Amino acid sequence: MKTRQPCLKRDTLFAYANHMLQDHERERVEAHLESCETCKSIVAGYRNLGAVLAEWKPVEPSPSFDLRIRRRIESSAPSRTRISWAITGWARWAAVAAIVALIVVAGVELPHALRSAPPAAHLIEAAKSPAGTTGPASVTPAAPPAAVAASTDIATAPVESAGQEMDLYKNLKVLENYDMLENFGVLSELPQASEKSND
Amino acid sequence: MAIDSDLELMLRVRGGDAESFEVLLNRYRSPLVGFFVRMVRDRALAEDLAQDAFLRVYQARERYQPGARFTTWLYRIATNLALNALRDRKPSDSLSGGESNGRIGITELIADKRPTAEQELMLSDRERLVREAIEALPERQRAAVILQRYQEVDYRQIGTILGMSEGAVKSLLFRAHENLRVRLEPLLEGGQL
Repeated sequence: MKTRQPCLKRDTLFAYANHMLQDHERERVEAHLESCETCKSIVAGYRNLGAVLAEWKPVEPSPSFDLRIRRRIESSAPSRTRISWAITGWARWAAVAAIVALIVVAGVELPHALRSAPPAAHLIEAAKSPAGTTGPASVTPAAPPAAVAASTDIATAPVESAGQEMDLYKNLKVLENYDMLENFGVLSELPQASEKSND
Repeated sequence: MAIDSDLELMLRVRGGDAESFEVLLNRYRSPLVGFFVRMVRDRALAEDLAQDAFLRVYQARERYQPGARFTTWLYRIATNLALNALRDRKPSDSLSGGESNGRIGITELIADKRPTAEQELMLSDRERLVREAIEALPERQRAAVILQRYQEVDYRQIGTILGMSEGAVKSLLFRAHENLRVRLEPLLEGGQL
């Protein structure tokens, strides 16, 4: 009479149910299962457990997921900065050089221009006066715009009229854009002077 | 048109090809979010962590070495993020824990992204039992079960991801399933466990 073999260990049956065993060990388990209903039932139980676990359904990402990850990648400073500096490094250095040059020129020119500028009250007074009194006749004809443009001239030349004052501002090297100068309130109050300077 | 392997795509990403990264994103967006949802339960946190994982992949692209499978690398990053997030959780944020002082502040209301009662109702009772049984597992057992059952990662990969031998992974999975067997006994039919 054939004696009944003892049941296999549970971890072996689990490994068998989950396809973890090598060929020779798998064959040994299968041979045992042919004659052991208890072990066969345990294997079936582990497989059933796998099916029950599969009932936990997956969750899909929200629709905004891709948008958010792209934004995060774009704003991921370390790597992005490295790449952008590598690609456009020359342009960035050119921009930095231009800014430095602008600051240096502004530092040299602006104090001179401010020293030579009369008080605002004086400018307003000059603008209100009749054109004949402070007009072109009083402006030194020998002071062409080119001479005014030189920083040393701006610093030393006497300002005799609002028209000359405008010329000073217009010919500043640093702030060459006249539209930008118009942002200064004191100049916007001088329409007549502005017209004269355009003559 | 041939489907590019993860390895090929990642090598192209390393070379600066953004489109290849998009392909990887499309391929692993759902699996990764699913992994994190099961690991940390909190859906919003899960999406944040999935984004962190993709971001780390992208940031590390220049250092990527095609030694291991891409999924091994991806899930190693993901598992570390998930385990860190679980450990960083305050006791009041724990899955089973309630409010420590009985009051819910506005910050907590905003931050509390656990499933609402309505969402809970949408889950079947069986599904909820499964979820609770897996959530009750110790962290590493939970990670191993999720990687094996839901992410279809093989045992060797799980070993690399969790930093243990293949034999140790099998042992870990056995203990995890013994725990699950006890908790899910009411759901098990046919077969003796």
